[in-house]
Amino acid sequence: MIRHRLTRLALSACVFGVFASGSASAKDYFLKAERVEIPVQDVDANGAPVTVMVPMWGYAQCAAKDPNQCGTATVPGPEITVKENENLSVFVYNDLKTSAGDHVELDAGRTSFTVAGLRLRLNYGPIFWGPSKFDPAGDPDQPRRVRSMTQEARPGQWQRYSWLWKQGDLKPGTYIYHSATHPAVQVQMGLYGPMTVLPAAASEVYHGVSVDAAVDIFYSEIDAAFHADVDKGLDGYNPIPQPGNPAGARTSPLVYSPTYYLVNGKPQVDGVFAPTWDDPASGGVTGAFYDRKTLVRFRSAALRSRIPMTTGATAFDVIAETAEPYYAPPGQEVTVAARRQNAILLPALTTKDAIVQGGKEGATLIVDRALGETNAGGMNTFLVLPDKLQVYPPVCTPAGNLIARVRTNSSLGDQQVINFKISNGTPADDLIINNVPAQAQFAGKWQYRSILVNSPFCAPGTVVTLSAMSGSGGFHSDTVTIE
Amino acid sequence: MAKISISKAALAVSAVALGVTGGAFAGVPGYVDPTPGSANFDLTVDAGYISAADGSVIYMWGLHTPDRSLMQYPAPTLIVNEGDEVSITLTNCLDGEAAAENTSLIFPGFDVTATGGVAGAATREAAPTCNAADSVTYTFTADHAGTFLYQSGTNISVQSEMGLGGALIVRPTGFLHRDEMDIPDARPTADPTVATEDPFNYVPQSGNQIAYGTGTDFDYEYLYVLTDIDPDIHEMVRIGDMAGAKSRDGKAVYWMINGRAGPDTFFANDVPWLPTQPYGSMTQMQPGQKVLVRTVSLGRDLHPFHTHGNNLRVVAVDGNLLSSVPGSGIPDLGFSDFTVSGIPGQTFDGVFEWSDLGMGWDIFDEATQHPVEWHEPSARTDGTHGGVIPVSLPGIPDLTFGGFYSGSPYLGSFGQLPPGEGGLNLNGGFFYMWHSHNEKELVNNDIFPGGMMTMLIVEPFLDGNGDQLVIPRGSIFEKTAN
Amino acid sequence: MNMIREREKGSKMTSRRVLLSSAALAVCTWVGSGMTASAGEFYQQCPGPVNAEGEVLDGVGGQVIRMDGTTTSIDLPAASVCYHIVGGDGFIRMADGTPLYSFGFSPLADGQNPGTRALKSNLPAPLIRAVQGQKVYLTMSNVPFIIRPDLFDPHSVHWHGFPNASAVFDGVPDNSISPNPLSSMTYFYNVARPGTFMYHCHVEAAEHMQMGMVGNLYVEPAQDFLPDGADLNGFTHNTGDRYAYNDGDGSTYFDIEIPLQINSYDGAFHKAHYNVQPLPFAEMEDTYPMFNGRGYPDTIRTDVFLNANPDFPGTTGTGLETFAQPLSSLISAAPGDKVLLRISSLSTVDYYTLVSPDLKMQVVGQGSEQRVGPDLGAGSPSKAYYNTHQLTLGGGQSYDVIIDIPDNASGDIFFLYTSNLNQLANDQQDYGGMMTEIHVQ
Repeated sequence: MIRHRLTRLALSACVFGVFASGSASAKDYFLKAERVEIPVQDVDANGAPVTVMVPMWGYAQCAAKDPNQCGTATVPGPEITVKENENLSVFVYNDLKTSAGDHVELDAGRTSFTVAGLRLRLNYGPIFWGPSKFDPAGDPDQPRRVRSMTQEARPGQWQRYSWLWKQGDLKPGTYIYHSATHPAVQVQMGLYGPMTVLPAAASEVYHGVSVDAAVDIFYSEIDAAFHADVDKGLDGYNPIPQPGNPAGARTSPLVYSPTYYLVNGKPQVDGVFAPTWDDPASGGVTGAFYDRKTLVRFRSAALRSRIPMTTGATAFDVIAETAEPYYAPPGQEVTVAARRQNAILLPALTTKDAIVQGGKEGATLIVDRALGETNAGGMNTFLVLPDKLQVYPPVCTPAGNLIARVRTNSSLGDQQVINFKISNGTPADDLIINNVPAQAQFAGKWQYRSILVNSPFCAPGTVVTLSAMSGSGGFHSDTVTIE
Repeated sequence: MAKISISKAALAVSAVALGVTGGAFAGVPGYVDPTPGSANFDLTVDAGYISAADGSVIYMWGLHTPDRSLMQYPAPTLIVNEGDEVSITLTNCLDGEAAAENTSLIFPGFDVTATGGVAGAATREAAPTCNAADSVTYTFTADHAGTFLYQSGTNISVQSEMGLGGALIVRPTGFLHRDEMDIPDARPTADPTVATEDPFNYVPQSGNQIAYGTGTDFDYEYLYVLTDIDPDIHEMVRIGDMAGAKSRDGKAVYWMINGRAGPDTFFANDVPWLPTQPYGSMTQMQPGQKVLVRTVSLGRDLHPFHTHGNNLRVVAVDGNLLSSVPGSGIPDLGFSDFTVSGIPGQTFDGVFEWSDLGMGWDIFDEATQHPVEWHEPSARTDGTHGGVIPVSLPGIPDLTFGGFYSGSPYLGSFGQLPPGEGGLNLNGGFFYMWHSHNEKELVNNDIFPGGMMTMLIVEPFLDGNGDQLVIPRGSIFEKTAN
Repeated sequence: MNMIREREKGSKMTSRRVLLSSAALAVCTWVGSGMTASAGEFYQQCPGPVNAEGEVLDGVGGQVIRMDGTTTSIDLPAASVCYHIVGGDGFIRMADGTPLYSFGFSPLADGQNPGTRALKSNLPAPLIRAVQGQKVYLTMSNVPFIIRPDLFDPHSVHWHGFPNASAVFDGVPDNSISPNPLSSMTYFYNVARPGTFMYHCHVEAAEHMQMGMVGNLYVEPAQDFLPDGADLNGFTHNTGDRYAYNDGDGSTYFDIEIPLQINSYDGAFHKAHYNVQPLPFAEMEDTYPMFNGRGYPDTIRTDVFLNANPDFPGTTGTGLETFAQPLSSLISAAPGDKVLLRISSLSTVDYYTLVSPDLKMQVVGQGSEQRVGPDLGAGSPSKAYYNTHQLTLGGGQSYDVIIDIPDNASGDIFFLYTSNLNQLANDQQDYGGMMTEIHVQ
């Protein structure tokens, strides 16, 4: 049992004041739903490595409401982050295709968008199939069936979705967004992604709950045979067979047997924790210092329940599910009654938030105790809680030099050295500075190491990542966009 | 459709065992180290076989202590005291098995230091050499009390299925077994003016049987390790097809409590015909008593564990007391439910109580002239003392009788049964099924009944001979392993 | 007479026992089987004559006995309530049109002879409701199977979650008695606690429950019957107000209540049963995920489905059809309404996760108990309610949740469905399964 005290009562009053004046700032996201092939490193029947290309439907983020200004689709989709006082709109462009490059005929080619846990402000849905679609012979009493729970994006067109009726509608929390059209197929195909709503108060993740860092662990599953069938178009998956259609296609999503178990978009082999600059968290996520508070945002778009379990001393204080904190007593937003667990039930298409603090420094393997793993790897990830090393967000001087600052704990010892890396995303530009002495002369205290770097990193708009690693101090990094 | 019943012959054996050994089922059988302040265990991984109650045998990987030559399923229950320095040395004797590989142990919730062996994803691992030089020693301080699990930390998706997991119980500071239960002389007397002792007012002769703090005291404790088995995976591992085992979408067809499928669950601990499955799960109590239900889930699926008879008040999850005041020992955030999910990787503790309060009729036959003190609370005003069952029951030709039915609806009484019926209820107790409520899991492969199912017996205060019935104190069968 | 009846001590008997005449001949003749009935007779036991609701007319209201031993006098609608159900077989229609052979319980009016009905399987079984403090006399008559005359299965009633249950009325065949075909048994329950329970047959549980002998059961709290204007810590009770629990503060008040039970079918298992094949227990896997015995979109229909199979001669157009799937899962509410969902699962195979993505659910109870928190010294325990958009239930679990219909939702449609998305199917038919709708007026 831990309790988090609200320290923001006064602040929230200010926030409400802002809203009373109706000056919520707009925040727009542009997503393109499209077909993408995701490579999975598997082994074949003989145990030899093989790369399987899985056809999926994913979301690509676009710079503007222009399908030609989009990146590549990913699964899960790009993270949507918004403050509770911002007026979020998501524009979705429908570019779903079959393997042959045709527009998808399933669901009349439509797709749509929703955020589980948030009610749309203007819902022009739901959209229904008429009963005659399913039984031409006709059961006149059988009602229509929902196709899309929210308004649809037609092939080659944009559709807008927004949520904010009034202050309080966009509740802080950990969400999953996904297609609201025929979710049994479209979500399974990959149309889902993470969304986070932050409170107006800077350090909070929920009203009354502050943490030092937050990390994302997102589980999903792939049934490769199902993807292949849907990718063929109506020849492979046809829920409403009509006279003249080829026989043999799947008609229902019922039969389901996942072949790949993904964490943060890929199956992870449960290898030894071995951080490198290329993969400094070694297939995991890095939180705050182990004695500080790290929020782990667990999301699952799997169709079956998953069960993240700690393998070490780091226990989970579960504070919320589906973006609803366990406030105690209920009805206020002051104190959260956390539920401390070593394993967390994470049901299909839901989220849970857990705070980790204390326990074990360094890397702890988090496994899916529902045993989601195959030869390609599975839902294994390392939760890295650095113990003696922390980087500060890099800043630029007026002269265009970058200051890299690292804080170390004296327990790192005089003999220890720190390795720095500064990156702008282009590997050729990486600046690596090794063997900087820790120089822990202040017993029991933290000390700071700053390095001034003449570099091309300070151009406005550059995304700079500062990383630091030491033999026993762990790894930490932070990323900023230079303004 | 031919129905297959629980073998009466097999259960007769169980009944005999129950009768001969008295309360042979009470308590949590497990291993302790009597050394104050420390607990050292040597565990060996071996391959072996278990019986699935439908006659089939299943290839397993299991752990065992040096006093046993065969692996056991589930792994040995380890019982330590809060504050103990626990040290567990793991030796991997899977050498010679077709799919031999490294293995390791994790203790979620404890800060473990591992020495020896080789580095692995979760912890250090022991290579399958059966050589002490490759052993790994895991040490930690048992710094909080409760019910925990330990299991393999290597190739978890397969080794969990194969059987490498068990329960770890940490006794709280101040825990003390009762030397003997205070069973009052509740024998009815012909003279109603002679007061009888209140059977519900237990005054422990000594001891402090608590799971966490004062709010979790109990009369008896029992452990239920819930697992499930997909035998196809076991067969793939047996023949060395680890890739096949890993890629299979596991589908259990056996469901077990303490490593046994029903009705083997009814048998006593350590019966000789189940050499690799030493733990039974038959549960006994008397009206008004408190049973601590320690539950550990080590399967791949969730199992809704249903306690017939009454709700279970869950007081702790994963060894964490559900309390609003840390350190108080009072589970004021506990919740009551009639079916509690066993979630793989989790443990939960619940307190189960049963009495006749609110029944609306007297569970004791009026003919026994029992004292009012047999009811709880004896001072209640609902007028059920002496009240007969309010409906008439159908006649014998109209009924099918259960083997655990005494022939009487009254506790401690017997009635007429057709020849060959009943006979498994020695004291006229009330039997309640505790089981997975996903009823598919009440089968052993294609054979009903079986599976994840055991029984609670609410025993009367007098046995079938009219003598005082004493269930031995909880937490017996602790033994040292070395 | 037998040993048990001799023990009855007739002078203390409180219930009358009515012989309903043997139905053996009628049923057997109709089936044409060679059944040789033994001494089977149908009986109903009830302490007095009843009204249409099954309430005993000579009841005088009563006393609520709480589980802590205290008692409260309160004006109950009736001191006792009597139900009579029959266990038999019939057909349940899946949303893709497939009729599946089923076992089930169906209702009978007071004094009605079970033998006058033919196909007898409801899904879910008749709703059993009682008020805290009442005594329930539940008679179950076992009529022989019509479709499977080769079977002679006993049935039983298990009131799932009944607190401090006795063994004899707990319905577990191993531990008690189960009435054979052509006989009746009356179960007695002194209803001490309110809450959402469920009931089912416990004989051959994996088979009989998969086959459909499952139903809703809940107990209304005594607080519903407080005098008009009673003060509940600041909440004023008005006659007719209803609550999920004796909350003491009106926090479980609701306008509308909907029992929503998960009970799903494995089509192959039911077809194997119909075809007298070995029952595939190990392969059991539900292919028709349902609420209250219907798959989407039948879940939102408000009409009653008849118990019929056009392929089974004599059940269509013969007057032998009886209603089989009486319960809609459509949630129809007005803006501002508080909707109590009494959610339970009697799935025999799987856990299901239900989601209400748009409207949050406040969990006020689970497992027939109000969720209460620590006693903070105010004299009564605090509440441990929590909000969520998901509930994950295995068989035998229940939750009480309250949904607040938003004021600005007039005309809206919301969805309640399983997020195990592949279960949104009626076997091989898509756009179905475990889903229902909330229609806001």
